[in-house]
Amino acid sequence: MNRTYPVLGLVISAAWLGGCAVWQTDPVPPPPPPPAAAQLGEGDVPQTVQDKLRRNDQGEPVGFAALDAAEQAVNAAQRTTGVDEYAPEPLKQAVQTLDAARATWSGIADDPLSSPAGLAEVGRQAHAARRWAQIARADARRETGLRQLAIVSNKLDARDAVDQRWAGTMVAPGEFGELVFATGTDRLTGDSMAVVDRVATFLEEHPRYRVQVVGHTDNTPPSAGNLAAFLDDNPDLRDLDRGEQAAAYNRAVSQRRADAVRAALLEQGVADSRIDAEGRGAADPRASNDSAGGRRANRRVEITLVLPPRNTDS
Amino acid sequence: MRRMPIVLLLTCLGLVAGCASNPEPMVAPQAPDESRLASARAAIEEAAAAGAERLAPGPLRDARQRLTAARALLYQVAGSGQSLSDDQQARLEGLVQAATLDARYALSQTQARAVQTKLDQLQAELDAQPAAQAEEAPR
Repeated sequence: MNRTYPVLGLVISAAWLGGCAVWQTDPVPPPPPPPAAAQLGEGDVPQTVQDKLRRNDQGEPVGFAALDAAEQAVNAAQRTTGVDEYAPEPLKQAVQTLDAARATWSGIADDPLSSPAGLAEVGRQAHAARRWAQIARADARRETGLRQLAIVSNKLDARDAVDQRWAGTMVAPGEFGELVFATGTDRLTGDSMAVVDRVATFLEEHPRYRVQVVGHTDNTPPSAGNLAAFLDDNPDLRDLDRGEQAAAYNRAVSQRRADAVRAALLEQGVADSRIDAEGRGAADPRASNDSAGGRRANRRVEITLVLPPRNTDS
Repeated sequence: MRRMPIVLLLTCLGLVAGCASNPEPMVAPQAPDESRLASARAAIEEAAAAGAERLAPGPLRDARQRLTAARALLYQVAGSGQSLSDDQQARLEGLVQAATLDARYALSQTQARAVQTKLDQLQAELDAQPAAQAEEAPR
């Protein structure tokens, strides 16, 4: 019994200390992984900078690659068109930083390996000089490009002004002719194919234009047989009254004819994205439906030239 | 043998008590002050937002690597519980300045390439259709 208490005391103390050790925490979060030294480039790691020394046959340092690269970059910037005009400040920074790098280098050139810190400084300055020179060139290219962009945009705007003459023009029926379908069908006649050819040629020569194809019918109701077949294909229309069913039938007919024109244009090589095809049925007559002549005029497919606004986003 | 459960119980209590009485660390847990990296970080974000990932990936990558190196230095020093030495201070500033310049170049290159792309697009549009054609009547 006398030995029990010292043993218990020893066990508890050991456990207490063990508890401390087990739950001891690191007071500072672990650092992020550093990049490989070789990726850092000049100016960051002295050894990396030293590796950029140019040496003669005897292995003696005679130059510094980072400084050479900076000199080439500054020379290139000075020769670049527009730098003087558009990027004088970055160029000035490049020249001044290069001068500083040269001065630092000349102070250690006799024995650069004895001054890793000096080498690192040359590397840092050379990197800055090269970047300023590259910034000067990029800024000059950007500004020169913006100036050219304004010139080209003005030319396109001038062309747009000419192009506008045809915007909104209905060319069929009209200057290009008339689209006619075989009776009771959505098949274009031969003469109508010539109209499609003219439209396709116009679109090829005017790449900004699109076309709006709109099919129309007169208000003549469909025959009982045709309507029955139509309702068989569209049973959800059965609940409508007779007039609404006839209107839906005419819209479907006009849509099929507009789609037929779209298909003919696609065959001529016109991109689908440049064609809008819509069927309006009898909703938009251009003549009275009370006469045969008027109804004939109302059964038509119109093609209108559309010029969308230019996308000027840069 | 009869005392074994008592010994185990006391051992467990000791472990728990050891945990509960674990004193505050000598060095207070504290992440390093990353505000020193703010200029580089802002420049990188600006370049990336302008499209540098696509149009100037090289200098943007350089900028990020230098920023990572600067951050690693900050954490390394913080982990040792000391403040930055003069040399470390100079190295940190050098990395941040270099990263900022890399990002600035990435932004300039991105803008220049974006302008050139738009110019090429409009020039192609202009070349696609001679102006004289537009003045002809639709045929």
